[in-house]
Amino acid sequence: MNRGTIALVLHAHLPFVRHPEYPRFLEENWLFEAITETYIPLIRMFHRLKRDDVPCRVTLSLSPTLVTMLADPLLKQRYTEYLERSIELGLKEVERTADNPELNRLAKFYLTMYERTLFEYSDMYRRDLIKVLRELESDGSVTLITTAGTHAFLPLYQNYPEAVQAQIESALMTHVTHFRRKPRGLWLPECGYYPGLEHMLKRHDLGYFFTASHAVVLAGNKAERGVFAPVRCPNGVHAFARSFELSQAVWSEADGYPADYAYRDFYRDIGYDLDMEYIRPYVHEPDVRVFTGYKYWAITGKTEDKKLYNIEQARKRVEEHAENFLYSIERTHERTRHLIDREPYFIIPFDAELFGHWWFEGIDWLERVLRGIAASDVLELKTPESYLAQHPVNQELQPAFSSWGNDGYSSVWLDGTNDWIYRHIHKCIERMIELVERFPEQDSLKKRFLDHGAREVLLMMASDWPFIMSSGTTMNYAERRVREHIHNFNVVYDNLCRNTVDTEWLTRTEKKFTIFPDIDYQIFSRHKRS
Amino acid sequence: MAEQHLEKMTLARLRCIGRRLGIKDEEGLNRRELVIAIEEILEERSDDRLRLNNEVMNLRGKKYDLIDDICSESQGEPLYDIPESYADTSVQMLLRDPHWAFVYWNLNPKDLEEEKEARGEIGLVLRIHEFAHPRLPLTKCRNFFDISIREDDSSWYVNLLNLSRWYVASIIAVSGDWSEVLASSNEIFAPGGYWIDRVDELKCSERELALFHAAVTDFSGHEVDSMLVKTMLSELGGSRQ
Repeated sequence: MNRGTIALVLHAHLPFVRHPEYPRFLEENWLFEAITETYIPLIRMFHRLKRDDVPCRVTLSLSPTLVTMLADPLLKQRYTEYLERSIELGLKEVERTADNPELNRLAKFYLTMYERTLFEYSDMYRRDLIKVLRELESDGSVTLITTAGTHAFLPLYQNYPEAVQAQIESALMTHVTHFRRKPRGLWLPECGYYPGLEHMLKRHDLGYFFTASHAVVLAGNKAERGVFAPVRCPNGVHAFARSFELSQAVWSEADGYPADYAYRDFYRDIGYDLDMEYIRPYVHEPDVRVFTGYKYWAITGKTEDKKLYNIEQARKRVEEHAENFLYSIERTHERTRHLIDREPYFIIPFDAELFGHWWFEGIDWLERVLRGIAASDVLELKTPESYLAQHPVNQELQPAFSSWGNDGYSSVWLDGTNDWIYRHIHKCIERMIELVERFPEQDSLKKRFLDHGAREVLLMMASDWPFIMSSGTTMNYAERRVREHIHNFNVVYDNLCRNTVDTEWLTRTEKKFTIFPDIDYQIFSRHKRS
Repeated sequence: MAEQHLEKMTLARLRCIGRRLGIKDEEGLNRRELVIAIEEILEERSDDRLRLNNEVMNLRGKKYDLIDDICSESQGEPLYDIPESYADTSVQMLLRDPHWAFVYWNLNPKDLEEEKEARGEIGLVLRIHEFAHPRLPLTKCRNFFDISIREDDSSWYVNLLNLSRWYVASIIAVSGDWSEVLASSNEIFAPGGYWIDRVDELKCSERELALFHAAVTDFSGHEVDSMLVKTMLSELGGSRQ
């Protein structure tokens, strides 16, 4: 029987945000919210599927910045405190809503969620989510891959192969340290690809990557199987293009599943709705309203007059949406299988944080989809690695420059709000390469300085900062971060040029930016890349 | 949301935010007027963001949705010092999309002073060279266009006129009949693709057309967010077969 073959790819990433210099730091909530609403619920889902013997192998890309934060003792402690504060708020909410049974039920629902999360995180997982993820890979639930070291949008660094190399090498180093296995594939940040990038991947034994669909459809030659089979770059590395049609059902904010009126509203949160006197201990000082996670309202429609969130009703919609998605895959498979000479392969990639965090019910939906595929006679889940083992011979094609950003190229990361950063970042990269040549084989203190310079260059390259500047969300923080890394790198450069080392500054800065603890500045070496 | 927060801010902070948002005459506005002006700009920005972003980018943005930090307290904190410019003369070209490139440059004042001493007044030109093949010397270039730039300019978005061509940017000093290339950039390639110039051929092949549509559209009428794909779909008549 012909079977529709699917790869589900989840990409989990957050920028490196860790501020030991403050007792609490607003942007660290990005991580705490994602652990609570996405990462732990995903882990729970994989455990349930394993318990029920449901075969599923999802490709999970974990960025090195995220992995480092998940393993960081300070952030682990702060996350526990975040959960304790959320539980304290929940207890107050249960009391406050005692006269309203519907609201009270929701307050108890969230309180239970936070209590359970704290129990699992502290007692079951012993705060070690990395170990849990490693076990999920060992038991066959997930295939772990990595992405660029700090999630740099690589097409804007193609003139600096040393920097692209440093991004990939730092990523592999982090991945192997934590997961004790070298990944076979790489998630290109923002699906940002430029012709020739595959050479860098091959050099590091990476066999495949994912692209936007137009990377293949608009290649220099005909893609004989469209986006329904991987293509082989001339150097042998494979590119898997995204299936637009199947991704769209989930991604579309306007009419995708997550926009259903029964689902929980992401924006209505008691952090914004209740009196400041009451909510003050749970928002950011001084009186900056933030999301608390206690959200009682359903999307309802384009109205401010929201209906109360109804958990049962939302669950029912999850079932319907999962069934609809499975039907869509079957229908798409049926339509496309006659167009090519082998069973079509559908790559369906998502940002992991979409599930649970923004689309609160998303993980339930994902679980139902995975169970549905396992039970289906006509659908099959297959990782890119298994697919390549089965189909080692694929059409040779050079993919085209592309991304999944607006207009399909670089315009999100290169526009009037953020273009000023590249002049500085490129100069820092040039200077880092210069330092590697001027100071070969350093050890001790000077090497620590050089290593830290390399770390700062990687951190300034993160795609999150120009993205945030462009989207205008927390752009003040993004601008500060880019400037801080440029400033810090220039301190390193100036110190080394003057042959002095400010040890106190170095120690302080190393303690703040603890990512890539074993970095070797030689990853920026020209010789190494050739 | 923002209104409540803005109402509590000091007038000095509101003015600081107003300046940052580009409100003219923020010193002349009273407190209420400033709050309204700031709110309007924030709302407009948010609408623009939603309109311009594709689905993937809109959802990606939600990861960072904590607060609109234009209003946050750290707004007033000093930023880290970074150099305003660098003491070399160089030019870089970055491909934004198949039709546009971002060009930025540094001009070492010393280089310019030397030329000025020797030639008197000099003008500056950003020249965009177009090539049909890669890695050719600038002297072989027959297609180019010039943009006059000032000494205090440092970047420009350049429209790339043709797809499937290579481009190089140069900064050129000119004085009368004399000119000298001060710096030349890296080479970039404006991608086209096999089907771009073969839309008629694509129309004639039922299988190829179905394969193309299946890759870049869905049945609800959504299209892959790629400017070249959209151009092609419009030439093909848009709708899926």
